[in-house]
Amino acid sequence: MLKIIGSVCVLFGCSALGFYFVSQMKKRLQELSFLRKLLFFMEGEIRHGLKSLPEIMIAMKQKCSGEWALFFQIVGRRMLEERNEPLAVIWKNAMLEALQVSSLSREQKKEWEELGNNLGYLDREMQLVLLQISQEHFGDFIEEERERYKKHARLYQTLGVMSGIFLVVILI
Amino acid sequence: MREKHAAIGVLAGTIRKLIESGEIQSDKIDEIRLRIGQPVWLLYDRKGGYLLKNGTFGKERKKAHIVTALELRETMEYVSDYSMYAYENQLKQGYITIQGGHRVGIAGKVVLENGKIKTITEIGMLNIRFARAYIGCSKKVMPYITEQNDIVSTLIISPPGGGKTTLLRDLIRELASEKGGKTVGVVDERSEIAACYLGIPQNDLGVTTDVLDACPKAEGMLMLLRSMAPEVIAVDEIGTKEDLQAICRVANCGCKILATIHGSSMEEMKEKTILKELINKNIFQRFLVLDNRFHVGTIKGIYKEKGLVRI
Repeated sequence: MLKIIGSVCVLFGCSALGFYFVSQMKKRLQELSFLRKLLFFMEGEIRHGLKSLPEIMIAMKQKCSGEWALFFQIVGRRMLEERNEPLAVIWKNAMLEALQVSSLSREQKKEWEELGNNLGYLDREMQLVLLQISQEHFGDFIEEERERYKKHARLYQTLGVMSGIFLVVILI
Repeated sequence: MREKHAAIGVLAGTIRKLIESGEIQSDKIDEIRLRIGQPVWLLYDRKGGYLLKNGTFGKERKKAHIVTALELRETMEYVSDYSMYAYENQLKQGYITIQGGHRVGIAGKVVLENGKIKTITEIGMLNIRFARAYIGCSKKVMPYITEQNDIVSTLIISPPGGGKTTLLRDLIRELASEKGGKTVGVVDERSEIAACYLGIPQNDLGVTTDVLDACPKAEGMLMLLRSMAPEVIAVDEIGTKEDLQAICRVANCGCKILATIHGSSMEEMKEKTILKELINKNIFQRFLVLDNRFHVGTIKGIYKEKGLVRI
């Protein structure tokens, strides 16, 4: 009886691991698409509204939930109320504080951090070009992730279940 | 006197901490100049000198705090609310007005487009001028520019730094106060009179004042005339042909004008071809000449009758 319960647990655990990897990939894809939309929003606010960055950050906070709402809240509040640090520092610290749970890869986080290094201290034209470049980079990330998802999603799920079965066979 | 924290608050953290940690009193600072690779220069208690590394004011250059490129960039971030792109129009004029009405002059590499200034990049020098409102400084001159309890059109003539804007601002405040009761329209082309920040005048301009911020004077005066029906229109630093044409039109509509102009004497004004017509047409009934040789805002003379009679 114990063997059966143990086998079920191992099988369930390994399968869950496979499904978890797939869900993380899916979440990353969604997160990247969402960030790209935010970059479009930011571009629109600068191009047509000529709004200041603190205002844009607060507006972006309203559009998000979870860790990203927290990120924009920290950045917006520190720019509006504290004004003690350059934006690059505020941006980086907010990433450390709020985006620990984000499913973005290290490279994608680096790209997001790079955006914070250049925001604000450019004229309008350059600012818009910078945002368009970032949109393209995030577009590339989305394509890569999509490809990866297509290739690996089923593989991870199958591997999870198969490794569970393999372990059960070995252990029994 | 206005509090100074808004102006100190835009300085890079390292410089701000130095000022706040030492014996320097922010209400005695008139100007702070930052230049990359040079010491922080202060106009403090009417004396020029440096911000020293120990946070005090002094003349020893060797002990002065040297401004770095990063500090200047950080200061610009605070000055522009982290949004330089939103201040392109002000940058074209070479300055940004910040909260509290303080003005930050900017110098660097000027970028031209079709022969016109597009923006300033590679910013290397900043001059933060602390705005002050001397409440009540116009009380002494008020009797000289009124006739039968009504204000007359007045031109304030002063050299740069002579206190003309400060006097104009206080005149506006007096006229638009509950006691004055006049509707005053202000065309604040350089955001120096009202120092609007996010649409709110940072300087006290009374209760019945309407402000057209960052608007060219000539267009602004006519816009105000049509839209806000002011009894008095105030403008700072007139000088172009368009300004003078607009003033004539405003005066013909029965509106009183308060204006300032760069100059040092009545005689100098009469020599300027462009102003001759304005004086001869008797648009302005009073001319206040200021002087700053001994003290900012000293009244050198008050004239009437086309500037021929000294009061």
